[in-house]
Amino acid sequence: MPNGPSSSNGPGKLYNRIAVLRAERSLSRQDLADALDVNYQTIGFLERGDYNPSLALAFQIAAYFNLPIEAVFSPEPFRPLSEQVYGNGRNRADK
Amino acid sequence: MLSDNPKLTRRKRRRMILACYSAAFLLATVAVYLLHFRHVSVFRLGGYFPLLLSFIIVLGGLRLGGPVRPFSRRIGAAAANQPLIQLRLGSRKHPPDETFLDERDIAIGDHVHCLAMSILRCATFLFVLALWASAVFHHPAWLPVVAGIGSFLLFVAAMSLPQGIILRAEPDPVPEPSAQIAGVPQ
Repeated sequence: MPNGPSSSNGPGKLYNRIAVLRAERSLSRQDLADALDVNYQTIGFLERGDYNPSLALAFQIAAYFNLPIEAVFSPEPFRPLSEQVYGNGRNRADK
Repeated sequence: MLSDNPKLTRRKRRRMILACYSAAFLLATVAVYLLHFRHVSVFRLGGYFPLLLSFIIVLGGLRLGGPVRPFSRRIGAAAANQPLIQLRLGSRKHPPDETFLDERDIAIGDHVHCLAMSILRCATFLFVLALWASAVFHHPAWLPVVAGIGSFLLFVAAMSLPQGIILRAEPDPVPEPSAQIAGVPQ
């Protein structure tokens, strides 16, 4: 089964924060799917990294969350948002 | 690409495919045996036609509530803007309120049609080659039997293989967890 425009198995794997962003906004998969004009199952596949979206859909998702695309998708695993915002405990202790 | 039916798990789908193709093979064998060795009239096997259609319908998807959504449904706006070569095969008409195909559905549809075509091409080539070799060198008595069974199965596969591949390979949809991430108001 294809995983999208680029395969998620191997170097083409794309990480995303869709699940976190959706949870922050209390959106169900169906709500997001309706807004993006895709099937709700596709949202699940996107969140689990089983499917890499096309460039158009990736931009559409980023625009929906009103974020730059690099905040939603990354070729490398994301650090936890809390760590990115506040830094880890050691950094704060050093300060 | 699968219809919304949580009871139809991947294991059940695979069993369904195995049962359908096994039954098709069995029916083809019986039909050819009756036609060739018992000299039963073709018209007496008229009941085979609805059975053949039933395999295609079960594997190929029903209009509503079938295991695989038809490939010919309307395309979502996001997917319709994609500059991809889209193989939208089929001519069935569906009500506009049915679920549309998005870009993943189209990608899967194209992929399984391509895969099915490759499988059928190889199978047809081997089948014809075997028949040709048998006919040229041996003229065996079982040649018409094998030819009949093979033709029947190739026909069933040609009509239902893309949907069969989806039923076999598509992972089960994971339900949305009821509890969202902690700290987020419901």
